[in-house]
Amino acid sequence: MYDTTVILFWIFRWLNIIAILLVAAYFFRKKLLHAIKDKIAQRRNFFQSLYQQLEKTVLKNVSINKSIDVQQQDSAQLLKKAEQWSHAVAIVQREYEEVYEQRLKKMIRYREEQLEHFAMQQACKDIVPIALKDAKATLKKKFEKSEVQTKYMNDLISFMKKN
Amino acid sequence: MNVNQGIIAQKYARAFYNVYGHEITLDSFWILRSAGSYLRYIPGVLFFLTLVDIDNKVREEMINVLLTKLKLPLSFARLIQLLMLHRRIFLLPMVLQFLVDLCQEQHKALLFTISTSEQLKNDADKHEIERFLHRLSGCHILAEYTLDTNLIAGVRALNKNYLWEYSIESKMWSITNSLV
Repeated sequence: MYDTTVILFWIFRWLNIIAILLVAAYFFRKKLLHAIKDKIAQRRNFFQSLYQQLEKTVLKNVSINKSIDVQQQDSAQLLKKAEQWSHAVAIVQREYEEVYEQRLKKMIRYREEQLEHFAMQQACKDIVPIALKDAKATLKKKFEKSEVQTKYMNDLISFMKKN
Repeated sequence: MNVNQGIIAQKYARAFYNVYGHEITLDSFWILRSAGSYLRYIPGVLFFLTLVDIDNKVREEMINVLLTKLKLPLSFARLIQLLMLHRRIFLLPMVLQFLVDLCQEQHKALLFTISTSEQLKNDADKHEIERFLHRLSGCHILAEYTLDTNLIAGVRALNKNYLWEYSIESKMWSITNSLV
């Protein structure tokens, strides 16, 4: 059978173990539990703040995404308007170029006409007086003859008679 | 001609014409015209009428001599005396000129200076030209003829307001105008 000493040994051994555990638990509770709780609370707060920051960041991200969408829409509209504007500008520029070309052609034509007119006037200035002088001299010579003169006057007087 | 003197002379002419106009016919037109020209170009004739120390009888004789010389009717003596009385005898050439204009106006006559390139040999041609101008204007034609060799050949009839020309010179002139 069992020896009582052994039994007692084991009983006390277990009691010692329990006592040590209780002391350890007491010591743990008194000294370490509070610090651990604080540490946990700190950690929890830290994680909470991190979570809040994350939430804020997500919200901010969402709003940024929204604003990016809006800006993209605006930029798309702006691009569309810019295209329309550039198209209108191109049309106006083309029209302006056409008008300018027409005006240029007109000016060139006018200049050519002016040059022709000027050349004609130069010719008139140089040639016409000589031609007229020659013609006058020839006519004078022709009408110096009395019979030609008389015939001319007679014709004129008969014209007066008829009219 | 001074404008004021012209207006005064015109008034004298009109007044004279109102009183003695019936004596001025188209036949006396040339006499009036030549008298006006004579006095205008030889104004010294009137100088003797401006002298103050001359007897009235002598002055009347001078006027009569002047009228005889100018072939003017006696009614003009009254005009000359009036002008002398008003000390405006120097206006007489202008008054005669205005009388010439009045005579033309009253008789519906136009004075033309007709230039020809050669002397017209017979009066029939002159009459023909005058008849032609009469048909054109509808007025009596008073014509004086001059020779203008610059016409080369043809006729030019020039009035104060009208010009009719058919000559080589006018043709040349129109050609020159169209070319230059």
